[in-house]
Amino acid sequence: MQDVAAYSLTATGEAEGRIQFFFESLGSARIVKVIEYTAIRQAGSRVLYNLGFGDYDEESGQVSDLMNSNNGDMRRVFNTVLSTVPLFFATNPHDVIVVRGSDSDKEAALRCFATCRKGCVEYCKNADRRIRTYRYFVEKNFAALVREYVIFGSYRDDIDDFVRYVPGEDYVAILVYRKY
Amino acid sequence: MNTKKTKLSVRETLPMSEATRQRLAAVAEKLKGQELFPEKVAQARQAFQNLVLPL
Repeated sequence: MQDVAAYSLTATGEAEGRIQFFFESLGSARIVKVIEYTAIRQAGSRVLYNLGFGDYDEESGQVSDLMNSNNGDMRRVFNTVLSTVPLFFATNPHDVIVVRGSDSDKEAALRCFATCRKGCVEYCKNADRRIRTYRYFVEKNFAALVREYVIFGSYRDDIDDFVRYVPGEDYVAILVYRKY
Repeated sequence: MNTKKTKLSVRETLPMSEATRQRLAAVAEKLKGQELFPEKVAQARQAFQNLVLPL
């Protein structure tokens, strides 16, 4: 993640349990991307935040995490998303981030089947693409990440049972703590 | 023994043009405080409602 520069961010302060970042993806099109950390529950002394990431559509005024913009700058975009993690922990050092892909749930598979062009029958070949991308970036930078963060993963069959992250495993959710 | 520690940070950030700055400021002003991923957040709340944090 250190060999590709990130895009510059515009941030909002935390408001109503949400921290938002915005940047412009400058690939084949200029797309506004949105990152949102949302407090989803208190867990003991910590707050669990969901990491959301998607595209902003200026025509509709809506944000979607279901689009694949294929803008030709995926590494830079993911580096930019990851660059918000230390910013999050700078203001929320004791809290925890959970990451799931928007294409990992059953509803996503059903939506995909409706317009399937890959001939999927028993399972959706597009399922879990996003979390696989997150895992790829985690594992590519694993040695550096574990110096600063404690990372856990969980499996589809038991999504709220997190185990220490081991590269190569087929996790569908990732949990991140900052080391003190 | 000294070991070299690599700080996990993005080495470089691309500068933002004035047009981009204005565009993002307008979007941020419009969306600030709104829940942008309500479905995903609802799913996360449900999926992790019984989560016992490992640390």
